Amino acid sequence: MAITTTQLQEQIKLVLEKLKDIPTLPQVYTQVQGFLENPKSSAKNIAETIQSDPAIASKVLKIANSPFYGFPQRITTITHAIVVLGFSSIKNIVLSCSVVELFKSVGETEMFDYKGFWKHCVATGAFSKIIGKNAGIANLEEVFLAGLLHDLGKIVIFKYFPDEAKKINKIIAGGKKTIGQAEKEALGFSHTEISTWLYEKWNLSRLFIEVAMCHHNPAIATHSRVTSDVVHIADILARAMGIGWAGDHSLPNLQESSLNRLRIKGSDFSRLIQQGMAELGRSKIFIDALGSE
Amino acid sequence: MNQEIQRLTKLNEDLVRSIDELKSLKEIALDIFSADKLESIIESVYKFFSKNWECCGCKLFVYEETLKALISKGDEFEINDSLIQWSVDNAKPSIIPHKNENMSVMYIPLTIGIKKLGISVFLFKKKAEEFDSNATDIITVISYYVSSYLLNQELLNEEREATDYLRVLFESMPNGIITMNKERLIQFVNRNTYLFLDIHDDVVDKHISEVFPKDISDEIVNLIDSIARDGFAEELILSRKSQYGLELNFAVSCNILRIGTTNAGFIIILRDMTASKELERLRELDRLKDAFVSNVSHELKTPLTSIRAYTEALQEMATEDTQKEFLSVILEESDRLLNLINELLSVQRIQSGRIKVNYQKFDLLVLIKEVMKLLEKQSSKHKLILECPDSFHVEADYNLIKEVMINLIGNAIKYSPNGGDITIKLDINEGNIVISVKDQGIGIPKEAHDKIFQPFYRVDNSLTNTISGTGLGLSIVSSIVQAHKGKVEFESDTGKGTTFFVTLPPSK
Repeated sequence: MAITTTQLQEQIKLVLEKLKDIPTLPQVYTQVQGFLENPKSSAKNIAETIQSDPAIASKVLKIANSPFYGFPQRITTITHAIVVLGFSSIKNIVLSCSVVELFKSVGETEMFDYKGFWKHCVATGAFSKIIGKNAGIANLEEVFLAGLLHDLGKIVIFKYFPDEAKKINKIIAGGKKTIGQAEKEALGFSHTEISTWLYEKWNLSRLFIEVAMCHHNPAIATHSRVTSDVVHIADILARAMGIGWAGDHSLPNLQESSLNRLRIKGSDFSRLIQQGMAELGRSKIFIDALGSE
Repeated sequence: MNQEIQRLTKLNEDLVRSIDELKSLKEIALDIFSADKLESIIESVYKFFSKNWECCGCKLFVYEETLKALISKGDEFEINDSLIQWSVDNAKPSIIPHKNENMSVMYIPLTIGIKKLGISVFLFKKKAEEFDSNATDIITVISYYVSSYLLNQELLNEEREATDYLRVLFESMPNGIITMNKERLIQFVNRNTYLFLDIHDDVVDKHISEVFPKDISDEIVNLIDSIARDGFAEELILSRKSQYGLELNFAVSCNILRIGTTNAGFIIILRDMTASKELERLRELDRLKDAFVSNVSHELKTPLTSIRAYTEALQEMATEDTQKEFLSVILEESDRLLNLINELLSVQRIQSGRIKVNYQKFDLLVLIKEVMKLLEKQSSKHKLILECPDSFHVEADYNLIKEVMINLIGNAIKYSPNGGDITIKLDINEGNIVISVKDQGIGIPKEAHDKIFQPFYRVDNSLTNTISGTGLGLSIVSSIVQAHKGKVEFESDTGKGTTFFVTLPPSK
């Protein structure tokens, strides 16, 4: 990828590689991913793997039965969830559950309202799903996840760079800078670079990597331009609606070109926001997942 | 070493299986895309599923406004409507365990993008969790094949409908339409063209000179030449005799057919002129009639004037009362005849649009007094009353307005045979001049209200048949007033009298 070859990226890599305990996704995700690459894997194999991590397994069942999927029958076993929702959905569900687990392990820091931030992530996911549907994207689960994962770098900074995090908070409290500018000032790079680096490490699909990298400026996206446009708009709508905590009080500029590419007119917003709020209601399970247990 | 052999053997097995799968996928893809019927596609899919995953039942639903069951194969099985809905709404294939533990039902939505085309449901003698991800992938791919077939059919139907509509449109036009390509070979001809030009053969891809009558094709070729050269040309009027001897007149116009900015050929439109020719013929007849009436009236007037003059002279010379009385009858009848001819001439002049208003300033009061004096002599039973200020200056055509007043006051006298008051009133209303003439006569019956301004119309009943007239007076009044951009109205109460209102626009 072009961006990783730049000098800046190399520098960031150097800084980050020094981190001893980089955040990792639970083992179960990697295993599920491995099974899915093998065409002979059956629902049974995958179910056994998921059940080996009870925390994840119970979340998977809750999400599968939630209004997010709205399946008309009760799904009682993981196997049932896999055959009914399909293999790729299960992978997505496990990924989102894994991110929740990750939040639990890294999120608890006094300097950052991680629950508020998670809420912002879920809202961005929900708005992305609606805007994506409006744009005619077929795989809406993936769009939701792209929204959910757009900003994880922020929380990594606050967890692993506590000294710089204090600085960042101070700069943001000044009220004139965005979180991205503050991060650059304190660290030399921002959460977008961290997210990109992290997702590459996790071996996530190119879509998630590019959306994390480009959602502030979708015009530079090459592989996933439409989803980047979608998440860009969803992020700003979630901020505008005041849902959760995006790290600062600013409201970034909506890129005119993104609206044009998705053919969204000013008059569409009230409908999109209304549908987005309803979708957020259906996605409540993801917000609850962080608090429960 | 042993391990390596094992690994390679396994890999080989996997590859052989993959090749088999690809082969069967290729086969089914060929079957689907070469099929001409949905039934045969579902048949192939069903066979494929039976062979590979013990499929034993199949149902297909397609959206035609609502979801409609189209095809059912193999064993009968129950279908859950809410699962169908969910599967289509989420565009997700879903395997649902069956009541019988060893069986499962697979719902495969047929969707492309956000377009919902239908759903296929399959019954398998296999547990839900026994499907591996490879199987679900292949099933999903096959459902895409079926979806794209359905979408293709839908698009084809839409296109067919659009083309049919266009064809019907062309065929139902009352005009003849011919299109040709740049080489001027005919591409399309509608039915009416065949009727216009009496052609019977197939004309497509032929030059017009091969198929149209020579004189006509020569003219059309010239028309196309000038269109091609100058970009425009005047409409041609052509005529030809049909095989039944009927003369057919038609207009020919031509235009360049442009697709985008390129010149793709020409379109020629033949328009039937029979109707407009007929109209032209009637207009000509009307003109002849007008000329005839005008000539005859003039010819009649000359001798009549002589008759009148000599009669007057004779009257002075006559000594006997009987002679005088006879002569005065001749004089009266001549006057009537002269009047009739004058009125005919007026109507004729007005109807042919030759009425010309010579605007001049004059005192309306003077004019009305003059008319009153003229008419007072006709009747002793009537009392003419004039209600108006000292003078009333207007700008209008003196002679024409005088004719209006003679007609209106004359009618008031004529149609109040028992006498009574006739009130003439001059007024200004919203800047307009309003002249009203009110009598206490027999009135105008309701059924005649919308006809009295038509030329030659006369109210025909026991009250009016003793009153003479031509039926032209009010028609003249209305035409003159209209020529002045004014209007005539009336109020009438049968048995009590009528009031006519003439409204003229203010003087300039």
